Amino acid sequence: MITKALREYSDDEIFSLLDADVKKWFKKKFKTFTPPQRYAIHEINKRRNILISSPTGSGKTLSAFLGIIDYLVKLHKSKKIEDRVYAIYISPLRALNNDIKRNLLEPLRGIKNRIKDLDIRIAVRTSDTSPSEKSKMLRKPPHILITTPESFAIGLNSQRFSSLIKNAEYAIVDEIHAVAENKRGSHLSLSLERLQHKADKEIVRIGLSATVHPLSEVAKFLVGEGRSCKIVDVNYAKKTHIEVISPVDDFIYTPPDVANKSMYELLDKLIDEHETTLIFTNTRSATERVVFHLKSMFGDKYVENIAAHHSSLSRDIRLDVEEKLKRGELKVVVSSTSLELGIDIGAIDLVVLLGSPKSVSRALQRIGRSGHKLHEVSKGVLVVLDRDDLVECTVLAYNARKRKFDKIRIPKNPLDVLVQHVLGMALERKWKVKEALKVIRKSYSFSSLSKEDFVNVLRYLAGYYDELEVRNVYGKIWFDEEKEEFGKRGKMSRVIYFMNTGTIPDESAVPVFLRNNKFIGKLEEEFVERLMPGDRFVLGGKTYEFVHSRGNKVYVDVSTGKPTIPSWFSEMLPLSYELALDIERFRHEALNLSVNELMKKYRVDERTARAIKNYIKEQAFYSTLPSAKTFLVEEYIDEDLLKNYIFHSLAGRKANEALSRAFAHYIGKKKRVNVRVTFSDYGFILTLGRWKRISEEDIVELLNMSRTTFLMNLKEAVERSELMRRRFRNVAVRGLMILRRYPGRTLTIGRQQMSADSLLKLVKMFYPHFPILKETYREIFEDVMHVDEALDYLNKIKSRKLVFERDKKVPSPFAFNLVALGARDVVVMEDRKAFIRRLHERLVKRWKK
Amino acid sequence: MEKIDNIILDGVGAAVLGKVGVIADLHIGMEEMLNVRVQTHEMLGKAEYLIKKYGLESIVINGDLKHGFDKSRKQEWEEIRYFIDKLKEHVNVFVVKGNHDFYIENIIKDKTYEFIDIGDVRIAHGHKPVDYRDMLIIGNEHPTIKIRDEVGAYMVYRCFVYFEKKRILVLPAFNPLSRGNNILNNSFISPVLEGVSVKDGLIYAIEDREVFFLGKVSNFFK
Repeated sequence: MITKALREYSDDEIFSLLDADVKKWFKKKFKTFTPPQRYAIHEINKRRNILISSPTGSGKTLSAFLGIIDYLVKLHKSKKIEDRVYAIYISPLRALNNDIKRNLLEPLRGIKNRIKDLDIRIAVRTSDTSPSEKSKMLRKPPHILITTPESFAIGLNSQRFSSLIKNAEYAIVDEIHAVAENKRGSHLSLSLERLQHKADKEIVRIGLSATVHPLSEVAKFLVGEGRSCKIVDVNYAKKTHIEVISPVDDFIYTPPDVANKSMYELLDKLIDEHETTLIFTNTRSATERVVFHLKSMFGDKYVENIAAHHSSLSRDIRLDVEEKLKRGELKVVVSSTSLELGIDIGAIDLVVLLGSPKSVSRALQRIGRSGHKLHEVSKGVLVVLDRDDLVECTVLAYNARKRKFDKIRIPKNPLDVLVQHVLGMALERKWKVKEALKVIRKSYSFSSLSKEDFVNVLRYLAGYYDELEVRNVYGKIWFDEEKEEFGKRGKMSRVIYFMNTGTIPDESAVPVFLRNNKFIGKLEEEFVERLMPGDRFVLGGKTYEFVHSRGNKVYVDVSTGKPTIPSWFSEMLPLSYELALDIERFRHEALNLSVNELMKKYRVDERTARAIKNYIKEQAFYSTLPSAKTFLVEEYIDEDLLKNYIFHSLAGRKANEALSRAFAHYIGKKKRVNVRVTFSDYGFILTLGRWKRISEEDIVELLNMSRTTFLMNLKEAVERSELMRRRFRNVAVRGLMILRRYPGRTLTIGRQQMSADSLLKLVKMFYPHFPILKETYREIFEDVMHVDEALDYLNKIKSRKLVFERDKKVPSPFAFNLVALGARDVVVMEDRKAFIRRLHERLVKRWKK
Repeated sequence: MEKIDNIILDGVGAAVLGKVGVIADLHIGMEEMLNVRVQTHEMLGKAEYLIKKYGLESIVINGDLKHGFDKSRKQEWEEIRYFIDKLKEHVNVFVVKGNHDFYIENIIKDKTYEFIDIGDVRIAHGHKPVDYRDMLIIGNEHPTIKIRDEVGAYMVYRCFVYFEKKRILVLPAFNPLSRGNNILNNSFISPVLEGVSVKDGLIYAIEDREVFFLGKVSNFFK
């Protein structure tokens, strides 16, 4: 049962639970308890699972740890404390680990002042930990172990280490919202279940989470099936102030350089008005750009007092920035996502979000980084970058004030992660299928795992697919299907497991150089693959011409020409579906509200309200306002005379990717053409060559596609895509089908891809139900895209009136951003032979002239 | 049918001079490194098709019959021998040595050649400098070409490349698994092509046993 923690215990009640020395120390140091501590400490003392969601500065760490420290102190006093791990703290951020250690050492030192012989040990174990430190840990085990999900998983399978942790009584998962959403989380949840299965008693699970919705989902993820959990949500205790500011009156009539200048002036003003400002951008490149411009535009105002912090920077630089922040030496820090989580970053009194953060949860998480102390207000300013951004931020801020969150999504039954754990389990001992399945299904991520899928994973790991010439994917376990038992096999399996466990794929960005070997930046490999000599594109704000690629490097020249290929970056954050629907609703509402009403309801200034009104009125005037009643499709003929069909589906990028690929495939098949797809949060474009056209009847057909037809088209589209090749590679690596590390060799990305391509061909031919293939589809449909949302939106469109505007030379205002965006993919319908024959024939025709 | 003088370019990726077929870059054993081996059969199928179609008496393997640089692994050894024995049931086989072909004589139990002349046409792998009288046929480059259409769809094809002035014909890799080198992106590696501009080459792309002449490489540079 997942329930809210209802009781807020009083100081006396909590103190009465604690050891006398712990109590004295706490009283002297803090006097009283913070709200999350009031809810949590008592529950943890009673050994109940708990999920704590509370703001920065609310004493989160001690909410989780005070009860545990108290328990250890009592054990010490009664001389019952043993040399083993009592509590495991797991955080997705390696950087957070040392911080936590420091945060725990401080209270322990305080308590030790009162109890001289107290010896409660803490140790950090991550991939950075040296072998000598590890063996020291074995000799003198820590009572509290601080680790990452990956190191925890490896520790579970190391015989000596697992005997130290197997009777752990507490497991604390920090930043649990950030792992629950991805495969690192699925992996961790199985590690926890495996640990539980070894343990004598029920492990008390403590989760620390940011505000996400619904917390009950996160709680289920924390504790697994059939266990209860209390939820503490004290985010109400923190006041948040959110404001939307536009740097200019009008985005259309302000020249770009002027708009740019006023944005930096606005930033400068905001920084001036505050002690320390933290600016979030949505990409790493934007982070660098903002720092650069602030430095260059304001004389020597920003020199030592400004810093960038993002994940591409080295760890030392990041640590240095964090330390300076804590010491209050910085006036402004610019970050992408890296400062969103974790570590206490000191007294920040303003958070600026440059451009929409795309989800309410993320906005609040970022803004929550300001207002260091609990009673201080978190202050956030959303600075908008264009007209769509203006509308989006207005709605986002409104939802944030109303605490209307987007939903968290927890991946279900990722089979590649399961493969790793099954091998890990087999390495431990012999298992009955039934028993193993029971352990696995305890995890919330795998609670609905079918026996069939599980047995397929066992068959795959046992090398059953041998006769179909996947021979060199060695069997790593034995599986007796009659007795329903499995266990380890071969000497190498163990080594393979330790070298290849983990869920984060190798980085695949390709470095870009000028011909004199000067490094420019990185491009995604998918983007590089489609480049041809002479193509011009923008990287880091400058235009370059592609010369050639050699090995895994791209060579370019600086170019003064206009870009011919728009750039895109998959690191761009997707808009949440819930927010997208609200924006669609708002557009219609704003058309009918007066400026005054807009100002009042959405708390924007007059200038902003007018800008919104103008934008929406313009759309309604020049074209049609797409809304919950009307679905707009435009046919726009561009400079190259290509036909672009713009679908105004405000459903978020992940739904639009599914819609656009399925539609493109349907049309491509029907007209026997290749179709380019471009998709964004706000809609998508299907682009056809000069000689083909989509009619209104075609569009009606598309919109009325049944669920089955839609899914079939999407699957076929995906099967032929680059996306499939790359995702299969990642899943095959995660699922240990391709071993990226093997004693004596490491597989480069290129080699991994070659292996993946040939394996994919084989598996598709012979084994449509192969677990690695099945997981690739799941990952694409559920994680990369959101097919459920696409289907939901398609249903909504069906009840809307279709407006099809034909033969336009200028797209409508709402389509501007979408048209300016880069193509994402081409759904290729022609077969290889038809494709080259067409080119050959065209060339022959030209030669005859 | 595409021809250069009397040399027929066949869609499987072979040059045919009378009763002699020339193929290059088979890289048998590559599949083993990639965990899969299904390509030997496909190559054998293509070779047998070629033999039948032209009534061939001989096949010249123009280098890189073998893939692994190290001492042969058992699997590689067996597959190469199987491939050669199968061919020898129908034709004479001559193996020109490529840069991958260490210890190859031990495997095929036959001698190898640095080059083979058929009339004035010299056949050499191309990884070492070699002189020739009228014309040279090499392998080694695994040439491919990337083609993109107006909406941005692109595909990569294996191809022959012919340089009219130098009279050098580059064969595509016979191994269908080879990803190849896109001639639009990369310069050549063979010393015999030193100083030759890629842009001067004529392209004959192959797909599904057909040849498609695509004109000069320079057409593909904007």
